[in-house]
Amino acid sequence: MYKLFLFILRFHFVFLFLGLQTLCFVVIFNYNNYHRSYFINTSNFISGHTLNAASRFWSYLNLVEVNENLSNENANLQMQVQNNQGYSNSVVSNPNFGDDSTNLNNLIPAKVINNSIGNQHNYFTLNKGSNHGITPDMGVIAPSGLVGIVKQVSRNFSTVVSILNTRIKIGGRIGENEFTGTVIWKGHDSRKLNLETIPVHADVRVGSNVVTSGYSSIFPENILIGEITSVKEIPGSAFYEIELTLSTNMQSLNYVYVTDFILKTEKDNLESESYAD
Amino acid sequence: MLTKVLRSNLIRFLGLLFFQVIILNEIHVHVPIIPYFYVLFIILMPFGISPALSLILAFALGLSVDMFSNTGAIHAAAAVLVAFVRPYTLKAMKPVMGYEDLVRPGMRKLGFSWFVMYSALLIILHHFALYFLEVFTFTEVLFTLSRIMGSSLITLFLVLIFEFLFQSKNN
Repeated sequence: MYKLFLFILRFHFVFLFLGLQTLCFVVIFNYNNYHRSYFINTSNFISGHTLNAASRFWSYLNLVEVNENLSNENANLQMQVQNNQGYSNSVVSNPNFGDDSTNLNNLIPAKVINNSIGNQHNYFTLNKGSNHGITPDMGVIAPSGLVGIVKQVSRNFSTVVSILNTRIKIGGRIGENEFTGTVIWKGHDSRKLNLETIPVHADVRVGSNVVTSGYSSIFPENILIGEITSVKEIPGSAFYEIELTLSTNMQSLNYVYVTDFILKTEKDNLESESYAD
Repeated sequence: MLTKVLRSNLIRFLGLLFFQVIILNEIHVHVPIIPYFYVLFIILMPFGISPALSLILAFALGLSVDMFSNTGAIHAAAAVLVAFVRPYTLKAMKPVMGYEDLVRPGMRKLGFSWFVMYSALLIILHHFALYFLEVFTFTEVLFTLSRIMGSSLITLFLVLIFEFLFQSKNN
């Protein structure tokens, strides 16, 4: 026993090294499991408040861009309001009549206090949390389109999986022709996404928009994701290689909305019931 | 003397942590590259530090960076690895006169090329471990290697600038 003690004491440097590395690897392997609430994330008390304070400083630097985005968004909304006034008199002429699934959303506005785009698994942090009604798995959209999915929530902050995360997959649909596929990020360029599993018999044009398909209960349908910038046919493959340019500039993410899909529970329950059969 | 070393290391620990998570992590370019300058803390730890303490400090710094960047514990793992390798590197690179009257590794007494070699070695090791732990795959090795080279070069550049600006008389 004494010899064992001496042995450990003599090589305590190596043992400590191995011990700490084991600890790190346990955290690394478990980190990817969703909803495992570790304190090692940006929505904890210390990181949240520090990043919040730092973002106040950073936000002064891009006030011009923020103002521009907000006024653009305002103009768009004004236009929508004016267009809708014509419809309000006659229900029949509303093309969306009967399809009210897109309207059943609450939007919770939030500010991005920390954003990474330099990793392969990028996340960003919002200054709102469970106190403001945010729960995991809610969708996050910017005025110009989809940006991520909420992962972890503390009382005042939440961590969001960015669309620039190679582990994220989002159901996308080509706006014009209703073909659906999977939108992924390949990890190379923060402006480009890929749309996969679109069969070669589909008519795909450069310049068409890709929107959310609405097949999952995270995002409502028809949220803009990006615009197709290149379409390639790979010899021997039944699918196109489609590249899109993100509609949102992820470099300067400022104000976003968290979508609270009101019928989420109902949809999830219905689907799990029908899968059980 | 001891309190002075303690103080300068404490300032370096906190200063580098906040510089990393508030400034470097927030500089956004389109290619996925971030320089991890905080590794300078491990590079400049004093010669007299106990090896066990150096591991614990590296672990604490790495885990703090992880806490601010949602990366699991990959920074902690890479930092601990560098702190583990450092004593052996110092031993292997020992100059003829040894490190006798020096407090920490520095450019002034040990020379520019010694310091570049020493810090480049630790930086590349750190970034190599870090980026491979991040992607956790050997597909696209060339892409990962180019990310490692790119960010290591920027980090080395920052380390050299720091050393030029803050070199003290007894290093």
